[in-house]
Amino acid sequence: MLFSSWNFMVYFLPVSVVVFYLIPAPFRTARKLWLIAASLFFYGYWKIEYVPLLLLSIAFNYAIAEGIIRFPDKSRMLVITGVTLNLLLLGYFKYTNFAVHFLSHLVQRDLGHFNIILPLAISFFTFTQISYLVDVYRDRTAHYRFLDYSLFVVLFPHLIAGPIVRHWEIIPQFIDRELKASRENFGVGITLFLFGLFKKYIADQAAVYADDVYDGARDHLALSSFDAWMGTVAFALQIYFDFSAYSDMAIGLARMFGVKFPSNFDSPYRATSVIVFWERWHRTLTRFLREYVYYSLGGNRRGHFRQVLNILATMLLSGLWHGAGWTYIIWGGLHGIFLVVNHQWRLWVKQMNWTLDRWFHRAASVLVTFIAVSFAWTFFRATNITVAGTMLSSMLGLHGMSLPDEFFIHGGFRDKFLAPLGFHFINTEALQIKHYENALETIAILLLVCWASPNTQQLLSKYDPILEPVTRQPWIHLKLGFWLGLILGFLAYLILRNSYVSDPNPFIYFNF
Amino acid sequence: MNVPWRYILGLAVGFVLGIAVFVGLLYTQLGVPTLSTQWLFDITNKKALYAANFPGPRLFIVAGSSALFGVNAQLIQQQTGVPTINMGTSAGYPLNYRLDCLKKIVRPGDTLLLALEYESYGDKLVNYSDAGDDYLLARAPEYFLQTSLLYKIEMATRIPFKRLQKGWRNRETPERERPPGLPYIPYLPITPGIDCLDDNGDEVFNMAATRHPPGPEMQDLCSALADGLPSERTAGFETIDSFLQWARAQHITVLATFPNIIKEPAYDEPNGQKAIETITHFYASRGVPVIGTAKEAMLPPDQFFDTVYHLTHEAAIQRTERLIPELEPYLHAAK
Repeated sequence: MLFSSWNFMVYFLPVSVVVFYLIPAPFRTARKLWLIAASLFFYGYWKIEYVPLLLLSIAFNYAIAEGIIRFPDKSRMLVITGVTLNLLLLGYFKYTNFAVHFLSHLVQRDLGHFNIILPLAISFFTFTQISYLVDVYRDRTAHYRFLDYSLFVVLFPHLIAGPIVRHWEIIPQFIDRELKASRENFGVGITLFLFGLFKKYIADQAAVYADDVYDGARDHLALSSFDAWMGTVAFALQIYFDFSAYSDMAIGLARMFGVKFPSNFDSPYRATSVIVFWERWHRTLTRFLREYVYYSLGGNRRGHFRQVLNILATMLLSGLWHGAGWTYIIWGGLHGIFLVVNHQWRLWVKQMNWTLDRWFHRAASVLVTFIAVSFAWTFFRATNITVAGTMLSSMLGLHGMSLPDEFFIHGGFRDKFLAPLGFHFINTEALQIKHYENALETIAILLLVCWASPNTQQLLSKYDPILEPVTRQPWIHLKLGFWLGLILGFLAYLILRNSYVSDPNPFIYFNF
Repeated sequence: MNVPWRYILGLAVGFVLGIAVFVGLLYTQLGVPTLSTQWLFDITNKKALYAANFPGPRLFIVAGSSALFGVNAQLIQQQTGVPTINMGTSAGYPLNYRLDCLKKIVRPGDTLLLALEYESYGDKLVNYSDAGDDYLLARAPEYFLQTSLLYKIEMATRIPFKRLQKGWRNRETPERERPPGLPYIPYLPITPGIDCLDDNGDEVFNMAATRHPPGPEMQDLCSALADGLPSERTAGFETIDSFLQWARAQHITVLATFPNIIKEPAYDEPNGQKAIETITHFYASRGVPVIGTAKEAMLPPDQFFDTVYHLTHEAAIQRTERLIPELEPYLHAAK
């Protein structure tokens, strides 16, 4: 069930919220049980057969954690067993076929294909629980009731695609703040959810252009450099709004039930470097990878060369986590290289005593970061390496920089200025991209939104929308009053209409 | 900072305002005709007119386009002597509405042969479709007005912006209507309409000289047979059940048969077999005789011309000739 689907918004969410709010505050356990039941229904709605797997995973990890606390002398063995079994489970479901295909390629023989369906959210609930086991091993005070632990893992706002929350930031809220059903929680929660809903609508519009171009590349249609860049930027915008939408909706949903989630998305395209980009994009995954992979490998404590290797290894793992395919691994590897280069650049700038804090330095940094990130997205979006290769060769103009005939057909600009610069013009009618002008306008407006407008958590910073304080204050704050409610309510109905007429695209991160 | 009640109230008012605006938009264009609905309007009226011209008990073939093209009412009438009207139109229009229209045409003593397309038994195509919404707004305002408020809200929610724009445009400047006597094409290139109806309501556009060439839709699989109809608890079965009860109370005899469809190996799979069993059981448990078998109505692709449900004229004649001997005993009993 998608957060933006008709069934979720019209049936599941109202029922789960109304029942939760009807349960009197003193019956805290009943509220928890209700949330667990609703979350299991939400998960089982996709495929009920995998609910036992989820429950088994929770029971197993809870038992291991209890073992670590009760038997300190065996804690090392227990944590290794727990983490290994979690990774084996994830590996079996997610990477078996990838490994078999790889081996088939190596031995030049078809080793077959296993009919394995990837359980929804397995990457997320596995990571959530691995972090819990490691934390319990490191600090044995993290002991919770089974009910609280179960709710922490299955809570539906984060179950499918994160944020990858930590036990110490969520479970205390079940205990201390009593899962408060208040007007404030509902108001802030629904506002975040609605903002996410609007963003999802935008993401689905951007997807139209991205899909046109990438499908064209897959089908070996003539693709100009312009089209390739447009498709790539459209995808960069699609995934930006899609993941931002998901994060807002997840944080908003949790808030409706009185739980605050950490920030997961913080205007990443305004990052002035790839290092900053990763501090803002999927922040909870970055935190997980940093604390449980990068630091475990030694971080920067074992010399510069080892740090480079650790960054590359962490980012390759990040790529592999996103998907069992070479395109994801290359995407992760590219980001690893970007990060290494970025670290080197910082050292160099420091050594040269440069101060690059003027507005045009920052603007150039944002632009270069955006181009690098978009370039890497090509691998993330492409269905295979061949498609990525087609896209990149067009983007880089390996066969000459080309423009679509259709778009530049009029005027002397083409012959007087573009042709002498070495551009050639190709017929891209087969791509069937409609309304080039609309695409350009849409992309330009969306880029402006990404670069210039405050994000949702900044707009709502006076209402403490996230677990941590909002650090960068925006030039505008939203005041939740009648007229804003009226506009948002009206827009919500318009978006709801849209989800009735056509099913929204699944969130991109639902695939991981 | 606290969230005031006013904000929550604003959200609710804004949402209700959205609904009110769109329900209002529907009301402003009720009865404004659209060209896309003209053919159904025309053939429904013409068939109702034919039906009214026949005195005494009549036989009605009730279905979508599988019967419109696939059963020859004229031949049945010639061979049985029972006035027969082909009421086939399109399965794309809501079954509820089609059966509601039928109730106004039939009278006690009539016999109905339900040859409904498999999709009619499922949950889709029963209460609404895009074409159905278009039709209700443009041609059946009285039906729209008698629907529940919830139905109206649902319709306001699902109706596309483009359809609303078209309605508004047509209020000011009506779309080009087909001048009387001229063919529908090019005024309506998708369907031939009443120009090809014979006096019994059969569409004879499917003759070799006029029919469409085979199209990609002939590759489609019938979803109800491929995915199955696991139970009788669907909106389709419920609607038909309610209609059967009404017909019984009106002393109208109801028979059922299976629609003509292109034979596919997938329909021999458990899902297809289960769907056919469910339909057969449904009619049997309500005392409705089922004429023929589903297998007899599954025919080779060369007997169809543009979709999986549209028989050629020659195949329709053959199919009707096979149907008549099975149908006759019930018609004589009804007489």
